[in-house]
Amino acid sequence: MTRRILVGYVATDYGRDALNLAIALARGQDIELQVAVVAPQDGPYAGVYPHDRGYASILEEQLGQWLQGALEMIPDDVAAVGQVVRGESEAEGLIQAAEELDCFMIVVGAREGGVLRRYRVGSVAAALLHSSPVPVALAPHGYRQSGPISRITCMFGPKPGAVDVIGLSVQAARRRSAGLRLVSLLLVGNQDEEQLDDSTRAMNLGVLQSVTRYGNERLGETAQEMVEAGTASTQVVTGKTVDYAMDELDWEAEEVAVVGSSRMAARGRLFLGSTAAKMLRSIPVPMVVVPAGYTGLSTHTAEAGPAEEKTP
Amino acid sequence: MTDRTPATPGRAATQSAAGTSAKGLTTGRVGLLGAVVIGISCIAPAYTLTSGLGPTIAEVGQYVPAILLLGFIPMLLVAFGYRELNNRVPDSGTSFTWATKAFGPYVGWMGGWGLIAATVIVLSNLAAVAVDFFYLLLAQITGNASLAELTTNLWVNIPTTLVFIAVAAYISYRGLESTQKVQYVLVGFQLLVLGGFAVAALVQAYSGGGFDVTPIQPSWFNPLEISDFSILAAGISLSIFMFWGWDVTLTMNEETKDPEKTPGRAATITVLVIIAVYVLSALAIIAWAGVGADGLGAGNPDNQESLFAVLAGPVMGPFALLMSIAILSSSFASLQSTMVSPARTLLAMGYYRALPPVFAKISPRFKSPGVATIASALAAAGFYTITRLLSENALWDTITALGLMICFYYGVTALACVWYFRRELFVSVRTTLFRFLFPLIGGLVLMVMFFITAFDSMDPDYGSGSSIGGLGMVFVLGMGVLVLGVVLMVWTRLRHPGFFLGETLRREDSVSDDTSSMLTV
Repeated sequence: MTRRILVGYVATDYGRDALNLAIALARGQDIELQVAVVAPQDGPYAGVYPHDRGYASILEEQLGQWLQGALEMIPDDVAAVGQVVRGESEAEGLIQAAEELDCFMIVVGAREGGVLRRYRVGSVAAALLHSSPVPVALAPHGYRQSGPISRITCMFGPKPGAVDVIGLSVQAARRRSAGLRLVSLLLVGNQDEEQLDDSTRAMNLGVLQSVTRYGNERLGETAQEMVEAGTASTQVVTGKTVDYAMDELDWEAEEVAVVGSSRMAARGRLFLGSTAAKMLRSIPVPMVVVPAGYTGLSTHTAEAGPAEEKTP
Repeated sequence: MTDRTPATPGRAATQSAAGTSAKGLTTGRVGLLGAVVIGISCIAPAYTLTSGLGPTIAEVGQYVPAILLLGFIPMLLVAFGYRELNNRVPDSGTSFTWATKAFGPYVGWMGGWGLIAATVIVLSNLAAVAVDFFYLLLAQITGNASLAELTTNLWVNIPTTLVFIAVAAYISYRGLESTQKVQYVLVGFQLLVLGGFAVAALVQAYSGGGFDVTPIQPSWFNPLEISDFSILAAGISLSIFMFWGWDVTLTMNEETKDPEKTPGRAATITVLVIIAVYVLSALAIIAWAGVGADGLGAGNPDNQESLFAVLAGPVMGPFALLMSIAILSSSFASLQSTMVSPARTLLAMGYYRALPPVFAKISPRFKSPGVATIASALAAAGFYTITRLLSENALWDTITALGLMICFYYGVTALACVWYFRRELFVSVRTTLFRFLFPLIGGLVLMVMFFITAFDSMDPDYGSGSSIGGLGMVFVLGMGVLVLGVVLMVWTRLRHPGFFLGETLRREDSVSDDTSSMLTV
């Protein structure tokens, strides 16, 4: 069954980054891109006078041209449909479209950050990262990979409720036959019983224990199977700050990182946590942020991996 | 397998979220009360009264109630024509496109220019009024009266005004707009404060507490008492400024819950409320302060620019603070929402190649007219700076020049209605009235007002009495703006002739027009 990704497109460089990421995510998968341009909506209370309807027609035509340009940039092996969607705000329009079009993910671009930064979360991405009901993928500035995705890195920390982010990563890696890297992020100073051991075996064990503890048993078993089969690896990164810890990670060009939402997120909604926000500063690859308690894709049981059966 | 759907606007619109029309307007959400609130908010009565009432009293003295009632009539007649055009050609609705279709590119261009000029002038005035009351409010809050004087210092006043304009332009460029809640609060607050002012002034006047108590006379409502036709014309063009924005309710259709009844009823209620507020305020001010030229008198030229800035304190005491808040908030909200208007007309003119195509640029990020918004803000800033430097009574002169400009583009549009429908004028009694008689009379009256006021304003003593080279400031401003328009039009004709050769918008009448005026680029 074809699944859908919603691309929040704008006719700018970071809009094209989003498009590139969506293409990379869809490449080789049974995924159709819904390329959406959000048309701003004149609220009746805006007090705009005189009432000029001609403007809306001109705007509509321009949006259509931008959409056409976006569709022309998509290679022939990736299915895509264009949409002009409406919303009182860009984020609202995208969320509504994602729900109506049954998309499992929203892809947007990050704006150009400062020196050495790949990300600066713009207002639209920020709004999405704090309210989307489906995972949001952020394309770093200047993203030019063409896919397919080679590895998925699942980042989780020592807190309960990582089941959504680990589940999604395991599921996605299996479906895509991509590598999986389970990364446990430990900030020194955090109270944690996890022993830091240099040996690979001990490290694997530690991470897998964390998967069991912060995810669930079923996920722990699946992860262990994948590690044993050589399709998954584990890593513990530590540091005083997120920036230091992230320095220990190396990245593949076609990699995607997956992080969870803050505990402040309402169930089923996304809320970018402070740790994830800091990661954004140092991750050079696209980052997918998963809503809290996202069980995902319940309508697509045919594709469900083991993660699908987890208890919430 | 590739499924490539062409992104035609029409098709995409059918897939858009429920509850919106194809043109990006929210449908069926506005009830009668909401529509009245929108109408009042577009008029911004607290702002119009403080800046328009003084110049009007200066022209017609105590006959303000009469001139307000009289000034509404041409406004109403023209609004009927607007509504006809808006219903027939809803997808290309501005004075610019309508006048171009009816009268060809040159008149159409000037019609669009008149609208842009009027909105740019009102922007500069809104910003200036907001700045005046900003410093007045600061003074009232801190109890330091010298802060209110800051606004008379050009080195403070002009930069602050430019900042206000820039902020409003930025908000508009970002596509942010007022919400229902904000508008309800702003409108409710304005009406409450204005009502409070009027009641306080009347009670004081009739208990002998006013500055120059002048008992209300029935004759104030009788326009025939104004013997001089020039004074009548000047008063009417000012009162048209004070009703400007009222007709927004008539052009609301899909947005209302009941498109058949709501717009008409809302327009009626809006105008009744506004006339009541205006007449009550005018009566209260004249009864309390008289129309004398000394002290707090409403005829004192020093008070004309902003009556409430002068009178709110003596009448309302400590509650004058509320008046400052009401006027500051309403003028800033109007500043921001009005910024949208010239930008959109500039964009339309760029789109139809009546201006260099750069004006048609839409910001990909905010989906708003970027270049056109910046151009509007710069024009408003430039207009204000020049007027402030040249005139001692800049606000007064701009309001009078604005009245001129509104008469001009309203008149052009009303006559465009008659000519556009020339083959469908007498289909029924209804069309005879609404397409022919009403807009024709309204349009002619406004054009007559325009010419008389323009001619009279050559007199150096006209309006505030500022003049340049022996010509009245209002004439210089008004005609200067129109002549600038002609120069730009000729320049565009030479550099970008397409529009003027009928390549983008053709002359049409209502029968030949298939209403699909969009360019196929």
